[in-house]
Amino acid sequence: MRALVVDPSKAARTHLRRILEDAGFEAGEASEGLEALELVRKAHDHEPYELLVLEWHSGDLSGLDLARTIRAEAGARGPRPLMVSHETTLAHVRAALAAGVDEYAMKPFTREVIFEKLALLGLVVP
Amino acid sequence: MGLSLSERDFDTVRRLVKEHAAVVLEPGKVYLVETRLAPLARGEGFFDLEELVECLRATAFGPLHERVVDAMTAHDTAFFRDIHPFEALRNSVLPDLARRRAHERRIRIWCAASSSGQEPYTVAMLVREQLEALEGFEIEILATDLSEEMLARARRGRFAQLEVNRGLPARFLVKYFAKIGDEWELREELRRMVEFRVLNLAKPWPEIEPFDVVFLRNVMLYFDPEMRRELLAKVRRVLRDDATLFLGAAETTLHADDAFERVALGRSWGYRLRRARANA
Repeated sequence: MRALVVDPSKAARTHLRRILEDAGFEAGEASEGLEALELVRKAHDHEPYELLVLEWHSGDLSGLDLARTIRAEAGARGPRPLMVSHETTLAHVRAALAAGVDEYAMKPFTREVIFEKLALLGLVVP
Repeated sequence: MGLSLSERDFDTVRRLVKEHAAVVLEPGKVYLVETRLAPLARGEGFFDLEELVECLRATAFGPLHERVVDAMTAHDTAFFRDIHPFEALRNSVLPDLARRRAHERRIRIWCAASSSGQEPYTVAMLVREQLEALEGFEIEILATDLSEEMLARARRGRFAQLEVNRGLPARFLVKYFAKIGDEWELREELRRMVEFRVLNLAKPWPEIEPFDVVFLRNVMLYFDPEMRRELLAKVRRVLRDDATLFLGAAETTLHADDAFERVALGRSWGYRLRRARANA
């Protein structure tokens, strides 16, 4: 399974990537939204990502817009967007779900948090 | 503070916890005693953990002993813990009960070690999601724990961010919770669905009306074989003939009680009384 972590913070990317690797993913990284969108488009036909881990704030293209764009382009065949963000209000979670994000974890997170979100998405066995 | 608890101090805690909560602390669990009780010792104003344990020995069972038992028996818990039992509840057990109890229109569910409340509230949310199928049903959810402090916390229905981050689907968060300051509060209509009561599983139980579903998850794990047998025998007496028992992912009734049989429920396992099958 392939995953892409999109987060401007290198520390957050590394932390998330390690957790995803332990969960059995081959995980790539992108620091900005547009870079991520390009990677997802390129991968789509031959080695598509199953999971997209997004931060709300991801530079030139927000995690929210990225999720919305990918949902519009790939629909259910695209990667499952999981938001892992510093934004922790109900309004943010609601807006993310409306934009097509499948699950939402608030920072700071632990390893259990990410594993349990992956289990909710059916991507790992609890 | 000393680096490692003496054998005598460990033994004091071990016996206390076994006697009052039937929880068995293996010899290697010194670190667990230290990590759980050191904050308590500080909070209670003791110089160190040794002084706290000395006080446990020197005084009759009282509030301090209770707090020690609470601290040693609090379990890791999360909403939708392990997911599969709750999928089974939603996909097969509840719909099945809606048919079987069509005339009684009453379903009783028990969470036997409810800790800070995530498990009974998970059940409440799933029941709430099936309002249509369960229309006109009286659904009783009883949650018990041996710790009054835990029960008080659970009754409030307020959770820290890290707690709602764990296992709770985001769509349930937005549907059933409100953010109040740094905490997340479960909506009152959900809180009202659960009755919280104190019960020590290891002590004699009061008269309890039988249940249709029992969650007894990650309790037996800490019991020795004899206590497991006793516990399962008591559980049997509060089950309806066709009731479903859910255990923790690493637990089984095998070798402890052959009155039960394991049944596959989706990707989870449930346990049912054998005679139920003869009637089915």
